[in-house]
Amino acid sequence: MKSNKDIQNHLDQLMNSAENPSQLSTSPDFEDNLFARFDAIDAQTKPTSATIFSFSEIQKYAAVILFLVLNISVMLFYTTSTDSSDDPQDIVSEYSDEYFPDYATLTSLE
Amino acid sequence: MEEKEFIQKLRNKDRVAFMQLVRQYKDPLLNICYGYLKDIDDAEDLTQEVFAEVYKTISNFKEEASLFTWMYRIAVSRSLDELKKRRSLKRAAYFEKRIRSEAAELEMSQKASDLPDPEEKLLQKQQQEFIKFCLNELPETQKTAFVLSQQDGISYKEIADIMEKSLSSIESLVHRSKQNLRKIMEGNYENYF
Repeated sequence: MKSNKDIQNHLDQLMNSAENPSQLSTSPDFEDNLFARFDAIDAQTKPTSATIFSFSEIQKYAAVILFLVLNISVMLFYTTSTDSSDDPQDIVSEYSDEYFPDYATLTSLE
Repeated sequence: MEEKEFIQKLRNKDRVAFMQLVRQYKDPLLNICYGYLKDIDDAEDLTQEVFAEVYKTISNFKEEASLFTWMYRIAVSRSLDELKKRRSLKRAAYFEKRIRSEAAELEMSQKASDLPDPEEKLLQKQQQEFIKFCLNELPETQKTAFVLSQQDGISYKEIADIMEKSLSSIESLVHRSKQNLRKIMEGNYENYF
């Protein structure tokens, strides 16, 4: 069993160790591991965006003109190809007979 | 280089600037983490965590404190979090792991004839465990003041900045931490040796 003096001496030694810790250094691969970690952080936080197309001035004008030509040709196609033989009056009378029978027809059903 | 200019480079994720930062602070930060954890592998892992946090959050750094103070605050708070996490682990599991690793270490030491006396090595490890246990018994602020005061090159003024306290209160905290540590050691000596 240790004497009180031995214990006090050991405690002094322990206090000294606690107050004066040996200064440590990182391992040789510390930096490599850390920078690999930085790469992983960058990969996680990298913003994802769609590919951005850029046009020259001439291409922009060409795109607008093409757009207008296409629109005008579609409008022209529909206005010229509309069947003018359907007289609106005929259509009205055809459907009015079907949905609005005259009074005589209605009373004859009774 | 001006600190502002250097911080701007860090914000731009300039790898050369980060390399400079890491080389300057890796060992001081490792020693702070080791001061709390008393395990070199864990301290190195935690130092990596600290640098990773700096890398991720440097854009949020408001420059209210110096870069050095800010990084040391991260190291202190990470170390304290780690200690809290460990405390919540079941003690039985922790001691079982400790006994197993000590037995394995002793066996390895006996195999290697060129290494120092295994019993001496085990005693040293036991002493480190005892110091770690006693340090963990200190109140959080005393522990932080004590650990930081043991680091080379950190003045009491810098500790005061890191802990956001006055210089006189740091002097008093360090003094009380030493007194308390001695008392805790005396109270627990019989259980360890």
